[in-house]
Amino acid sequence: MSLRAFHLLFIALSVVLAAFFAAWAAGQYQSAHDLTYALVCVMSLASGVGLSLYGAAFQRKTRRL
Amino acid sequence: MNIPYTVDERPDTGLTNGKLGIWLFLASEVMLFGALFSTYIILRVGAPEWPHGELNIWLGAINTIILISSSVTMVMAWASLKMNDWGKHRLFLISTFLLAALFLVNKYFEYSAHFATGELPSHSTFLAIYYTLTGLHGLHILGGMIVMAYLLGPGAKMWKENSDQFANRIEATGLYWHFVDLVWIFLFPVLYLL
Repeated sequence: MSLRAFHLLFIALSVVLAAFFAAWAAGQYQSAHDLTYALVCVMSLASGVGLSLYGAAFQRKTRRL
Repeated sequence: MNIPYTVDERPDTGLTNGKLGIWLFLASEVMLFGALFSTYIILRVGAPEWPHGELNIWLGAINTIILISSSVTMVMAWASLKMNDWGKHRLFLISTFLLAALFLVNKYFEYSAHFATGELPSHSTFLAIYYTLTGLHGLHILGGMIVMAYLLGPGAKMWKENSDQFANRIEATGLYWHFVDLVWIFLFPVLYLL
């Protein structure tokens, strides 16, 4: 496996982690009603979307490497 | 005598010797961390109760962002070399090195806060496995920094002598670095969130 393929796998797992962290923060918000957790949930989801877009762009731009 | 197949792929493996070597090394690393993760699971399943909220989740989350960013800068350092852009390669490799250092600084503050309140490895089973896993991971970060420092310093002259072999060395370093980052991607939820 090349570094390019390993990086794509890593980014995919990072997206899963971002989704998990968002779910965790949502659970904390439901039990503690602390707005910090709601903010963390939104930021984590945004990070997941950002990482997905980055992964797609990376795959497209490094096809010839 | 030159080491064979540092640039060209071996006909029997389809890989350069360097890439085969780093993957064999990473396979041994999977076994090492796999054994420790298994230990964690066995200890946790067997424990009547498991502590929650003992770790600083925000410091752990910041360190996660730092390592994901460092994986991006590392792959960019390799991609820049492939596009013959030496300046950008240096910039991205130095960025990776600095992000790694920042991770260790954060870890130092995290450990210091625990030590200040007497939370040593002997304090509980949870802290014992926490220090073992994160300490070993931290040593791997340090090892990666030593390799990067060599490639930024005396090892960089290989670029002029054999650019393809140097690019392969950066790729092998990148594979190792991604593995170390991947371990953290599993460590963070397991130790800090669950």
